Amino acid sequence: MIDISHVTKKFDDITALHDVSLTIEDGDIFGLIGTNGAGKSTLLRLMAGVLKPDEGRITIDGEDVWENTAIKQQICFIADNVFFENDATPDSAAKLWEVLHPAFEQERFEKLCDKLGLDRRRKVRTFSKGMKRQLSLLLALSSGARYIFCDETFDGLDPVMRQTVKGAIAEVVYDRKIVPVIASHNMREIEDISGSVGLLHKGGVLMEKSLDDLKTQIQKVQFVLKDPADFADLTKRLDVVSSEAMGSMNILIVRGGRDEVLSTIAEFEPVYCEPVALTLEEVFISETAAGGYDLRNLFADGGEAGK
Amino acid sequence: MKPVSTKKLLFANLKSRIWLFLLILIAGFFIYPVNVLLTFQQYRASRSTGDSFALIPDIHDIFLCQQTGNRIFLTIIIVVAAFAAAAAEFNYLHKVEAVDFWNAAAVPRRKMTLVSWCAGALLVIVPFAITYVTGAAIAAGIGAINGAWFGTALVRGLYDILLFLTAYTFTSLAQMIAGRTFIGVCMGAYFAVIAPVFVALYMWLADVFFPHVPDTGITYSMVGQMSPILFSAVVMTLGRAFKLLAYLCGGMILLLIAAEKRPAESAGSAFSFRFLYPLVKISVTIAGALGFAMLGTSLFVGSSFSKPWYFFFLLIGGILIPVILDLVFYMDWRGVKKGLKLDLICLPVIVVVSILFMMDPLHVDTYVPADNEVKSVGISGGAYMDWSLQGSSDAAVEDDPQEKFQSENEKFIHLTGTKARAAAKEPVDVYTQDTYVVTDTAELAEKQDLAAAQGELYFPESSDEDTSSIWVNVCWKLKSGKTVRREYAMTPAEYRELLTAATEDADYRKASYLAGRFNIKEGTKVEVYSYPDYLTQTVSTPVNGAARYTLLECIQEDSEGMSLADYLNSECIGTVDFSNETIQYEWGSGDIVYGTLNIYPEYTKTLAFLETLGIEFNKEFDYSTIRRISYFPVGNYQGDDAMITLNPDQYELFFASIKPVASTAAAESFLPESYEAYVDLKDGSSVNLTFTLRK
Repeated sequence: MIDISHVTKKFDDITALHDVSLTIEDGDIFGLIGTNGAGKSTLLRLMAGVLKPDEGRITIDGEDVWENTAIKQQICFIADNVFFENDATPDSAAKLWEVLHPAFEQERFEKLCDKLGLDRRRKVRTFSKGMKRQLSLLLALSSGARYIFCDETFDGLDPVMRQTVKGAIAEVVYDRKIVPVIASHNMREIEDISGSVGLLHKGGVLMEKSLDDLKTQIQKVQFVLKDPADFADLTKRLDVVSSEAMGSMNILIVRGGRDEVLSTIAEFEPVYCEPVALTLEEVFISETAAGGYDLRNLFADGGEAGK
Repeated sequence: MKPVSTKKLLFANLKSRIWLFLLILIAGFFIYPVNVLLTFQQYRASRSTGDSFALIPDIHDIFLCQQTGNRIFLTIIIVVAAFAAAAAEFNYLHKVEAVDFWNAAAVPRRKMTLVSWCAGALLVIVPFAITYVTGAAIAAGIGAINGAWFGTALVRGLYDILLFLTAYTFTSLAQMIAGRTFIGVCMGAYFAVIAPVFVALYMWLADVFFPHVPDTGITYSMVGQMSPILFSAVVMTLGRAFKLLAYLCGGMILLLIAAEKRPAESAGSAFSFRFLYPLVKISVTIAGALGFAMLGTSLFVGSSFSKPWYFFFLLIGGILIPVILDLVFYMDWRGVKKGLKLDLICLPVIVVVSILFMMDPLHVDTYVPADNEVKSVGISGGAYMDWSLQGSSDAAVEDDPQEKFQSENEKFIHLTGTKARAAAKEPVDVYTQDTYVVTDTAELAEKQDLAAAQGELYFPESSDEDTSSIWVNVCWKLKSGKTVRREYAMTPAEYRELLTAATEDADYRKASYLAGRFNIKEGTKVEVYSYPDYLTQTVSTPVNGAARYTLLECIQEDSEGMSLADYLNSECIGTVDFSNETIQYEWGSGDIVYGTLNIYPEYTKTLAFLETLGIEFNKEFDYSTIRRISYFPVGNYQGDDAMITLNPDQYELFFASIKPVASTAAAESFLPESYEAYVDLKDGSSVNLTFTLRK
């Protein structure tokens, strides 16, 4: 388990993280969402022991991460800008990773490279950005580490590759019980793969919840009422988060269980009523609106990219 | 889980930087094996043409670098290798992606730093050792070196490795505290030059407020002391090796502390520790502005010192240097505005320091004590010396036992009373260039033939002597216990005038300027040479036990009766050498001769005493032993080779015309129209003979 307790990190006059607390359970894929400058990379670096927190503590399985080689051996950090030695090839990079991660699985690495079509003898400097990220992911998945921290790792991957990589991650999570923490500003990516998510904004945590919990507590329903005048009464009986009308079609996002919401609407004998799948973005917007945050503009670009 | 293997980490590091190994290997290959073979080839070519060429000393010099030029070249190679190795090993700290990768690895920072340091050291030392040993093996194969010499060469090689490791540790520290590789290189230079200058400046200022008033040469010696590379590179001694080792250990401790404390987020910034920038800026600005002022004054104004020009260049330096530093630090023109606050502190500090330099309110630089303050005065002069770390600086004194002995024994002429104060003049133009006499060889030969036809030797007048400068040290010992030293540039004529006035003073003669500096301690060896043996250092007679004290007393008493004019008119007929120490050199051992006193015919008491010891002074030069005599008829020359070579039938005339001068006596160093002759003897030895003409 990763426990982040009241962590603050400043760079000169800039507070990158302020009093951040998070808990990441084992057996889960954790998605860390936030816009650019929210503090995702900083948090991952702190968790990986690259940076030292100014205040607070980060522990993994009860032990501090900073300068703790036993804990750091269980961690693999893939930064936004991946590092390779000059003149490295996938094979030579694997050799270096084998030195740094004694549990490195060479066979798994070779299999993954072949599966993804990476030439192991080709110079890494001739790889595209996406290929470099692929390679770094494959190295991480073969490292034998229990915790893998990925910073915007899916960016630059083509859709097919994304799916392949996600499959590979899911496989190792299932086989070896590793705990990936994936940071991204792309909610769509996180929604696909993560079990739990944390939302960072301006150095603080706005929300941290399991996706299932999130989705069972909020419903999105579109319906058409026989009598439009009943709409006002209906909304009084529901805990409405947001409301939208397109002609006679009403779309409500409400809090509550699915059955409960649908049965309430059914009492008004709608002409048409159907529950609609919520996107993570809508969930977040709903949840954070209660806290006074309007995230609709915040994720406008991220939302578009995810569609 | 198994920890990360240090050996594997080191090996991975070495593999990725193999280019540095190859670079040093290639450089070493040319410096040692190729150089040995080329030297051997030159030797063989010179033998076939009949020219003299010494193989063994030249081969030895490749490894021992006893010639200063070779030593400086090797030192440059060592320093460049240190910078290159440090930049190669620690530049990972300056890139964000590399820092993320390596800091996330399960390797403690200290271990990572040590592995990087060791890798850099091995990448340089191993190829150096390979090429050094290969070169030595080749030299042995051609017969230029023997087994006994190997030990000496090994020690030299180990010293150079120690020098490299020390330089490398500091350049590594520089890379560690810098956030960019270029800044790291600049910081390395800062450690070698700027920081020592600043510390020297600070120590000089501190001395202003303390009782001991220092010699102005101390600043230069302090620079040398504080910079291990500059100070220890040229001369190898055990004391300096220990000093280097101390610097190395200190540097390693600082390196490891910096490695642990270094914030990872500083990658890409100028400095990894923010507090460093103001420190560096202030010290570089102060030292740089003062240096800029001195440089500007000398370059643009010539040799005349001028306060307004000095302040002008000082202000220019004080403004320009911080601007450049801000640009480098912030990498942005707007950074200059940010750094303005610190500039406003630096500039007044520079001006205050400069005023202290120049106005000398506590009489550091220009102070001449009043009569009633003076207890005694000492004067000594020497030939013109370059401004360097030699001469009167304590740095040279510390490691050279001979210099130390002479310094302790104050090779000064001690005067009392007002005469000395009056004799010490204002500094003359210290940058006077020596002028040269242009010599036309054909014209010279014609004049020589003409003189020979008349049974004379040709000695044209040298008119350049009085335009050259000599440095004269004047040392006042005050009644308060302070010592004030000044250096004055004088012409030789002015210095002779000073000495003449001094030696006509009865108190001065009583102080016995010649013998007063010598101390007979247990172990002092005294050897007497009579003419002409003292020229060739061939035959000497030891004086042992209590007789040594008696001899010195006799010389002291005899010299009291002689003025400078008496010495000028007399001629040396022998010498007494005092040596106090046998010193081990790289090539063997030798006695350090701490001084030589000349014996004159007027030393009646001394001669009578030496006669009781069986030492005679009436020998004559055996001309049949001479193979060749050559001399330069003018002091300095420019143009064709102006050396005159005498015929055998001119040897007797030559010795009848000249008075040999032993160069150690202060008075005789500044005799007018002194010449150098080279006397080659048939047994292969040779004598460098300084002489004047008999009047």
